[in-house]
Amino acid sequence: MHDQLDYFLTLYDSYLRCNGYLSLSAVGALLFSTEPSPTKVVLRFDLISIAELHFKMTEHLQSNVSQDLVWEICRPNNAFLVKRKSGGGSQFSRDPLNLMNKHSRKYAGFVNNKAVGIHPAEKGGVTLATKKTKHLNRPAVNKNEVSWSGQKSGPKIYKGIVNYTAKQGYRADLRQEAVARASAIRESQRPKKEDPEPKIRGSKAKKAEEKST
Amino acid sequence: MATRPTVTIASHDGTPSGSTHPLPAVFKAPIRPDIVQTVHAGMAKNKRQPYAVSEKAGHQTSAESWGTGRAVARIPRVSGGGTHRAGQAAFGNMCRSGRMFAPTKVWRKWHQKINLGQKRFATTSALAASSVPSLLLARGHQISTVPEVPLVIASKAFEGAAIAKTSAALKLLTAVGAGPDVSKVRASRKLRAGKGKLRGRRHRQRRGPLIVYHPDEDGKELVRAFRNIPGVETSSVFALNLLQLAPGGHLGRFIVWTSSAFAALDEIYGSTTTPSALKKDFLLPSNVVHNADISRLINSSEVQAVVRPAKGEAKTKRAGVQKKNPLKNKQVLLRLNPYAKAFSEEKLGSKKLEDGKPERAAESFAKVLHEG
Repeated sequence: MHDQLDYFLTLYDSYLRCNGYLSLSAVGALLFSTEPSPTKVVLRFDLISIAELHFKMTEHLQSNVSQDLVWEICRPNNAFLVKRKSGGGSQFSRDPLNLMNKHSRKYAGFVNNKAVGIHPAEKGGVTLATKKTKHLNRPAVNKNEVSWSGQKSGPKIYKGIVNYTAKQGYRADLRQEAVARASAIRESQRPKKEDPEPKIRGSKAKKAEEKST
Repeated sequence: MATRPTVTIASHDGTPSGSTHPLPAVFKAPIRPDIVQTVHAGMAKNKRQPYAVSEKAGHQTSAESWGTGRAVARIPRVSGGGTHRAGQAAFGNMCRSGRMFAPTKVWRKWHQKINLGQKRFATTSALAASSVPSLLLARGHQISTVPEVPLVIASKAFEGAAIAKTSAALKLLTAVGAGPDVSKVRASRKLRAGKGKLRGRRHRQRRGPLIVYHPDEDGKELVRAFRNIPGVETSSVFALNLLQLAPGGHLGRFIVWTSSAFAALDEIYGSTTTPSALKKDFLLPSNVVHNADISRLINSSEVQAVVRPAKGEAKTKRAGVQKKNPLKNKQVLLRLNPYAKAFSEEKLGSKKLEDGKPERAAESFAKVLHEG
């Protein structure tokens, strides 16, 4: 049964991808007959447990909501947005899944189904957080987290971040920003060098020398 | 078989109870922040009480104008003598202790009539928005521990007045993952700025989860249990109010449903085709756009089939790039002057030098030049 389910879901996914939109007027599941033209897939459903299907289906079926719509609703104001008149009225975001802390469609982590966040971890480490696309309606299990300890060298961490995000086709457009943020976090975690004591110069130096001798 | 996603029903300890419920049709209603905002603005005005300044304020004096010729303004002046008040200007809105401009009246239009259809639209819209985690986050709710949105708790947890005490209610909220939202509200309590402090609005705080219950099946004891938890509100599923569903006109209130209340939604709101059982002449509004996902629409084969191909060749616009010196950078030089390659390979630049100095012209040349 599970093979059939997977088969149905892969077909369903590819159908969605090639086909803009889809109104499933019947989900029960699974007897398939595909007509020659790929745009017309006829679905015939027999009875199967709907509970199994429901999790994957939930996000697709709620066709009244999309990331674009959510962004248009939240663009004027949202809980993460920081609007100040100073700084030329620039708009920032407090969203933990926003790599640039910038209020924009691309970086808004709460809007996009796929989003990347990078935060400092303990002892000079870095934590990478991403959203899962599987269960959009289940916030408690919707987060992936990977951490690197402070012992790891910078390039290794950056490579890991790229492997987890850009290379898997998960938000390849955020590659540079992710690495830059991780690098900036590492830089901020370094112990700060103390300023060297100022050298005494001129007449004061002479006096100090006389005193010492 | 209807094509509706199902929602897991959580038991009293937050774990899935095993039973599910199909998502009521109201959650597929169009989400229209514009309608919600106007309706909210109207509804928020309907609780106001009239106020006005006293009818007599600024007119309790027998002031008369002195007329012209006294080298003072013609504004009415207080008559009499023996006090500083005498001779001072009165009545005008520009005068000290004069009447205000356009004194407020108790018969101002305090309340707004809102069309029932619009109110119902706004309510369904706010309900639909409450099932979108992104909108909940955008409203500022802490939902990182919530197992599923919309969050439905089995009515069994409320059975037999099980939740009659605030401690039990708080325990339930924490168990189902609403704890962070409640503690956020508690931490947010601040003293209000301004006169509102004296007028029964001493503190301001965030709003937490809204508990929606079915009064017949869940009982009403839970109202008292929840009412002392800051920010948490309760509402009967039959009396949902936009002011609670979209506080401030902002969509995405975090709602905790009891399973019987959740099940009642289909009866209360009906669907886009079956009329509501409880609301007269009401069908759920349908979406104008069938698919709100713009990128999916753009990438659809239907749209892509009619889009003309991009004109011109692929060209990258290099903006804000440092200008390269073609005399120093070979590649840039070649881009400007493809002949430069052959020129340098054949060493044409140093050829004349190898041949030695040019021969001097014959003497006859000068003669011919200077002739006649």
